[in-house]
Order: sequence, then C-alpha cells, then structure tokens
Amino acid sequence: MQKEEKIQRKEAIEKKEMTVMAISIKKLDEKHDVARYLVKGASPSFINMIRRGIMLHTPCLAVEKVSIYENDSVMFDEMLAHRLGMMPIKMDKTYKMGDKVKLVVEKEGPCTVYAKDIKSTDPKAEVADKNILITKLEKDQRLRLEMEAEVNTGETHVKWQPAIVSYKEVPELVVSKDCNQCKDCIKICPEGILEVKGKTIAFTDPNACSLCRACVDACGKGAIKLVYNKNEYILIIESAGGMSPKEIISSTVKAMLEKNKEIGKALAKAK
Amino acid sequence: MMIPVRCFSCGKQLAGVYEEFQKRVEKGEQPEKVMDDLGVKRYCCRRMIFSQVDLIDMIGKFKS
Repeated sequence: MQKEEKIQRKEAIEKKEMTVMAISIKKLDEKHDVARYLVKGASPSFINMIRRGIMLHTPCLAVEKVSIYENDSVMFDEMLAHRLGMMPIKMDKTYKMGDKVKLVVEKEGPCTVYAKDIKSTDPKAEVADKNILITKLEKDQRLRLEMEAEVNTGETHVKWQPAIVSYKEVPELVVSKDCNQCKDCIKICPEGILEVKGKTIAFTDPNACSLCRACVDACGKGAIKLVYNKNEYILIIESAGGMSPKEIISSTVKAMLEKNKEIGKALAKAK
Repeated sequence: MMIPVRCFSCGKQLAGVYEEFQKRVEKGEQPEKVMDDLGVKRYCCRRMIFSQVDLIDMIGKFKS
C-alpha cells in the first residue's frame, strides 16, 4: 500500500499535478538564545505553520502545581505560585507530553530567593536561568514549598510556549534611474545598512533590514522601492531557555507530522 | 513589588537579567547600552525594566 502511494506521488510530481518545495535553512547568527535562520523555498503559509507550531504545539516543561507549606515572605502565595509558573525549565529529550517532575525549595531569611535555590528531583530537568528572582525573605522568615512541573503545549497556557517566534520577508531594494544620490535614505536608515554602490543605492546586509520603509518615504524623487521576496524568509526564534532553537524546530516538525497523521486517520474514516 | 518574571507583552524572561542590569547601571554604565548588551531589544521589554520600582524591601520591614 505504501509503495503504491509512493509511486502515485512520484507520477503526480512528474506530471506536475503536485509540487514539492525544496526548502533550505541556513543559520545566520545566534546570540542570547536568539537564533536567526534564512529559510529559502518556503511559502508564506508554510513559514507561518512553523511559527504557530512552535507557539502552540511544541511540548515543554513548566510548573503547574505548587504546594506551599510555609511562606512568611511579603509576597502572597498566589503571586509566588505565578512567578514560579512563568519560570522556563530546561528539559531532556526523553520527556514526553504529560510527564511530571517534582521541584523543591527550602530557604530561611534574610536572603534573596533565586531560581538556583530550586532543587529538582530529576537531574534531566532543571531551571533554565539560575538568576531569576523569586522573592526576598527578611530575618526569621521561612519559605518551604514543593512544585510539580508538567510537560504540555502552548495551546493550554503561554507558560508552555518554548520560544517567541517571528519571521519576515527578505527585502530587495529596487532603485530607479531617478536616483540622484542625495544620500537622504542612507542618513535616515535606522539600521544603517544602506550604501552608495556605483550609481545606485544598495544594502550592505539585506538580512538586517527591519522593513521600516523609512528609505522609501525619505526619497524625494520616489526612486526607491522595497520589494519582498515571497519565498525567502528570516525565521527568528527567541528561546525562553528550555530548549535550544534547533531542538525546538525539530520537536515542532515532529509535533506537526503527528497532527498530519491525525488528519489522515480522520479522513480515512470519513465517507 | 519585584520585577515580573516575564515581559507582559511578549513573554520574554527578564527577572534573570534584572540584577545584572541594576549592578551595571550603579557602576555608571548607560542603561540603554546595558539593555542592548543583555539582549533586551524590544521596547515592551525595556519598559518592564526601566519602569520597575522595587518595593519588596520596604514592605518587608512592616511584616510581623
């Protein structure tokens, strides 16, 4: 059955009844857990599927239940629990949807309680940023609580969103012959990425363009046009710290394939 | 009371960089440059940091 499907697919591609996009991804840079990828050969809907997939369907860890035994700090129990919930937690690949981990804190003042004071019962899961401020304790104040972190997706709550994702088209600068090289556009560009190249204006780095169109507005002659490439995107993944951007993408692809299978199954049942 | 763990608008984690920001600004560095350096780029995250008023130490004195 699978062989037949493969042959059918191949024939369809040859007859051009079906098109397959060849997608290439290149990493541009990574700093502060923010990775930028240049994605070529993707359609707008495809790249948006990746974005939404990361935000809604990629499993990650976050604190779900907090049992507070002692909290003498000035922060209310609810506020404390909320702060703990928002904290990103690193997890191993072995974790699957619905898995749970226990975390414990025990502290006595005077001190500042940081995320590094939280002890995990499983070495594979730990708090992503050790410097997160949780609360402060004065003299003789005590904090003793237990947390249960759960693997879930961003569909349930934003605390399970593994990254902030955005994408933008790669722009192309089209300069007509009316350009008199007054350099107004170069002066106004907030990113400072325009330069005089021969008799026209060009980008020094098109990937750094924020698509603000200040150059288009600044041109008195209306000689500059900013054209977007509909098949080339810059995908920006800003990890919350739980997983690396690469792990996030591969985990998203897996989750989306699973969704596709579900559609297939439902379709097979439909008459 | 205390710096929120994440930015209200975009959800970026900020409570981990706040103490470093404070220390460096106290030493005399320019706040905007410190924020750039810490990767706090968007203005939604920046307002979280520079509009923060730490009241927890003050309130802490009055808890019995």
